[in-house]
Amino acid sequence: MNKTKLEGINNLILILILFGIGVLMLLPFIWMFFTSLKDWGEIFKFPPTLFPSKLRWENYKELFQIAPVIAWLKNSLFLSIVSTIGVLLSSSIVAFAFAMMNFKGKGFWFSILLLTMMVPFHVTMIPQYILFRYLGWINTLKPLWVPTFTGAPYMIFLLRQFYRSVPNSYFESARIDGASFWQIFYRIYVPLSLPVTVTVALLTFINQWNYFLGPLIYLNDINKMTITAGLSFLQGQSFGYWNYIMAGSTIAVLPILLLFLLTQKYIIEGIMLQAGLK
Amino acid sequence: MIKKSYRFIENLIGYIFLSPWLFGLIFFGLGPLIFSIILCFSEWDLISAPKLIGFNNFLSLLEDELFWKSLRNTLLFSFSVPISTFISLFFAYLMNRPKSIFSVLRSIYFIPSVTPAVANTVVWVWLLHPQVGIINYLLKKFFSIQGPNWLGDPNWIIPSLIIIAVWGAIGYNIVLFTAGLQAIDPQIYEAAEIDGANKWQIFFKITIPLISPTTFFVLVTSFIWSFQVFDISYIATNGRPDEHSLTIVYYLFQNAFQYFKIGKASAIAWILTLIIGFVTYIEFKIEKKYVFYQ
Repeated sequence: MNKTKLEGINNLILILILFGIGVLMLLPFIWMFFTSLKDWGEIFKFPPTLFPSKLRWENYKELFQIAPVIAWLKNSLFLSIVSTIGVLLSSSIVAFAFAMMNFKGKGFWFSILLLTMMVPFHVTMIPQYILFRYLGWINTLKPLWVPTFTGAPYMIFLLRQFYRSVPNSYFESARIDGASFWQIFYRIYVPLSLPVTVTVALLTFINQWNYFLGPLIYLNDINKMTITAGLSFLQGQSFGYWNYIMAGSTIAVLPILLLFLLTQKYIIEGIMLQAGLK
Repeated sequence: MIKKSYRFIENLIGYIFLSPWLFGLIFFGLGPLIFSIILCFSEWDLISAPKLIGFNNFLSLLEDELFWKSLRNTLLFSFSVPISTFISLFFAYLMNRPKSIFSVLRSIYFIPSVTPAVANTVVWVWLLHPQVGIINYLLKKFFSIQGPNWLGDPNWIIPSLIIIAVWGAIGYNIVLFTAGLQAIDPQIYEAAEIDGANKWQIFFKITIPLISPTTFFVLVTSFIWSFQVFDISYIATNGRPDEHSLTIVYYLFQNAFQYFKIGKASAIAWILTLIIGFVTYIEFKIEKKYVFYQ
């Protein structure tokens, strides 16, 4: 009895300490948000104040006037949504072929898939740039989303693992009943794999929202930028106006933060799946 | 006869299903890969005609002081990997309890891993502001330490980048370690407790060896990631790095997309690939010796 009581107290202390460190982990975001509501004088006040003496929501309004933040958000949203659709459509079909079908050369192509997962992105980045420049796609979002419709190797791999874990009897009985591969894929495997599909969708959406190097390379026109490229641009232009920069950061962080809080179960499980794939 | 045509149809349908990926492989994967091999032996500014120059790109990189500096900075930055791995394992172990409050804690720690690195780093530039930044203020107030000029000091720029990277990586690695910890058979712990092992003994003699496959996975993927660091160094230097903050991928980016030295940039890309391949190879060698599979 005494021992469990002691353990309970120990547990409580542990939770409190971990919670305290957790607050420290989030301190940058708290500081970001409060700075975004301060006026010009207060951001440079010393000693610094945590809470703004007056909540200056106008900072956001003024930010929207000095920079095309709405356009950046629209571009990021478009890029993330279209890429998610692209990765889902293509990766699931390709994964189904790798998981359930028998065709000549399957082993060979699968090892190529694993190989492409290992080639660092920066090697293909330059030739891709040359290709997209040749196609006249510079300063458009196309170089960033068109390739997603050819599947993402990592997501193909993840979905293939899942399809293979579905009991084979589903597949066989559907074949015996005369269902085509497309019907088996569309009517059985897609509905069955909904959880892992949601995970793939969320990871793709977040990756594209956070993506910086690609938008930096391909988008020069300020109105064409995504939120990450725009934020970097803003940082380079507005020396010292930290309240505006922090307002911009808050706008970049908030959609992802909300998405994470709503869907954390799927995201965390998706990351855990990766550890299981080693 | 029927069987044969059935085989043919399955082959055909298989390749139809594969076709989006095959298309991407040719145009965005293998094609660029082969093109990149040619480019690293060429000189090209994207305007005049490209010309083959043999190994000259590689030879001139050997004498390029900035290249070596970028290599050195990147290697120093990769110290973030053992630091974040150690901290994450420690926290994952403490949080590996069934109560749901611990999964809430894991989610809280995970937040910096999911938000955009660009926004995170912008915020850190503000936190690390030498005069009015909150970090130096807190150091002064609670520890009476005069904080350094972080991102403005040649000696502190890489440590600053490491702090930002570790903060962003901990939550992600905690989740990976949690998956590994939950895969350990609880009976092993019970047996050790019956044999009278204390908490520290259990941690070092049981948890550490049994979690080693996950540790290995975290180390390999984190090292690959750390050699390719870009977002953090770009934002932290406001797009103007100097010899103390230039990283390899940054130098590649500069050469390719600012100076349009396509050949040189491609050569850097391949050197980086070889370095990553070499480090990963060494890690797999070490794995054979130290990683314990259940």
